[in-house]
Amino acid sequence: MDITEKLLRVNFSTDETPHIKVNTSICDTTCSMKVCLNICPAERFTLESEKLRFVVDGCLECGACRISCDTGAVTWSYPRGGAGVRFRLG
Amino acid sequence: MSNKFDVIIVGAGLAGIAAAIEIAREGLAVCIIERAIIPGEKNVTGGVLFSSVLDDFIPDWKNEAPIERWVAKKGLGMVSEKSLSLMQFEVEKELEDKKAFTVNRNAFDSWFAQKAEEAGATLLTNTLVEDLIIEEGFVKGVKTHHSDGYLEADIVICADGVNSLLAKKAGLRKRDVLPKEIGLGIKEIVSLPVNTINERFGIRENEGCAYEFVGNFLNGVFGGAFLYTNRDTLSIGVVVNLGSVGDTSTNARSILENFKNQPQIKKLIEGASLVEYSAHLVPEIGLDMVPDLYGNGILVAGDAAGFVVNNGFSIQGMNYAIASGIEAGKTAVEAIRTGDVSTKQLASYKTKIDKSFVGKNLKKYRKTHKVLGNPRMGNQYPAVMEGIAKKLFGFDDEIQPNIAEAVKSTIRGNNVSTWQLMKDGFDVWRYM
Ligand SMILES: Cc1cc2nc3c(=O)[nH]c(=O)nc-3n(C[C@H](O)[C@H](O)[C@H](O)COP(=O)(O)OP(=O)(O)OC[C@H]3O[C@@H](n4cnc5c(N)ncnc54)[C@H](O)[C@@H]3O)c2cc1C
Ligand code: SF4
Ligand code: SF4
Repeated sequence: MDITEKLLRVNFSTDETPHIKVNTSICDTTCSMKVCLNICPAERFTLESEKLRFVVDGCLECGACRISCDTGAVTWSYPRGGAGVRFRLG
Repeated sequence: MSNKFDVIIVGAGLAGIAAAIEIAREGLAVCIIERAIIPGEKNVTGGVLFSSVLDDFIPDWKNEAPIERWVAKKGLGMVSEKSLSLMQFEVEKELEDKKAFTVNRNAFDSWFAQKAEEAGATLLTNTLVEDLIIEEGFVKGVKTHHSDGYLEADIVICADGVNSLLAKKAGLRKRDVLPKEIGLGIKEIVSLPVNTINERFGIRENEGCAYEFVGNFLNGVFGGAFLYTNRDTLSIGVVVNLGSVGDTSTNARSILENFKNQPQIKKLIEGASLVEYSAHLVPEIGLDMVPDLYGNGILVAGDAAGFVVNNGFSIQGMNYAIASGIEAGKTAVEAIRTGDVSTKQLASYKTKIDKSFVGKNLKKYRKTHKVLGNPRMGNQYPAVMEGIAKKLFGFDDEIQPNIAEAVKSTIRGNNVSTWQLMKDGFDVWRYM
């Protein structure tokens, strides 16, 4: 089962403003490890024609990218109250 | 709603709710602020809740709480590509005493929050706390994301979980936590008919299992997997150290897939369909990452304070969250009554924590993460166990060896020296 199918089983109430911003110019120039690709449980970071792509919709708000990315490319906050992931079971 | 409270608690998780119950029962004005629409919706656990902490706190909890199953079997499994060596404890007595149960956080936290409201606490959901109000070195309240969102209090309790952005803002956490200090939990809840779960796991109605695993599915990453039974679902997941995932360039998601595809595990989850996918961080190194627990007008409890103990046989954080929340609540009540909310008065929180099972166990298991971080735990030892078991149970050799011979020849075959085995065994004995 791929990640899209897994995320389809999760409820979200979407936010207009993204709670995470990724400065991909840093990713594409100075980051060789790209640890976010291996870490993000929702596979929100992908490489497309060698360029880093980040999609915030579907983020599980775990904070792993906040802690693991050490270049400062990730600006991380929680979504505004009431927005974002809604686990039915957890 | 008034804008001024005696105490504001950030986060309606277990720590925050426990603190609120304690404070509201003493008749003080307390407000819990939660960013989710319903308490529990943002929270993920394994989750086995070791429940002694609830006994005195909510007298009738056993009849009221949304309990999935009472844990009757606990086990630690070592899995290799083809085999599973399981050390299992089956405890009838524990079932009678009802010491641990499996839980889903959405249901449990909602129930627990209702207890706080019944005690008189104000619950403000849908609200993100963005910052603390600090005046003349004292925390005086919080700023929420609402436009008129300033709320004042004499004490703020940060119970905002593992990512605690507030403990840092308050200057209680001096530096960012490092990847090697944090575990990433990735979890699936899969559904199966109640009877299938009972038959497959050899349990009766309401009885449950809690199994932890290590093995080569980890690909050399520090961590482990868990499998817990709920009423008509299973909780299956992995917790992997972020630093180790980075160092080994291993894909964290694939570790869970490896685990689910291991033949003996696959049999247990066969036919189950995915109900929910989730992820959450876990503080991993216990006492070595606990921040300052108090400041002028501020206390920190639960995951925000790093109060999680992983002793190799279970992850415990929920009971620590509740216990530390209760102690934070007591400290806040005393401080407000004496009219002194300075660090000097709030220091009694640390004394209370040190005296409780929270502080004692954090101290006792201080070095355990070093043992669990030993790469041989995930790689060689499951293979050693498999080898020994195969020899002793006669799968392999025609002439049955005795235990000593089986152990000796197997560890040799797996590139583990007798010295390493003894040293690691000694570490396990000392720290776990
Ligand atoms: C995969 C996994 C398995 C685990 N297994 C177990 C187990 O089997 N047994 C066990 O005992 N423990 C287990 N733990 C640990 C346990 O889940 C945690 O220790 C426990 O949930 C901590 O509770 P808490 O109240 O401190 O934090 P949380 O439950 O995280 O609550 C924090 C609350 O604060 C809210 N919040 C955060 N920031 C803000 C803000 N700025 N404004 C408003 N609200 C905010 C959040 O929405 C949340 O509701 C596990 C953890 C994980 C991830
Ligand atoms: S680790 Fe950070 S800098 Fe590197 S690619 Fe990922 S987000 Fe960009
Ligand atoms: S917070 Fe977690 S789920 Fe969201 S993008 Fe970062 S790593 Fe992925």
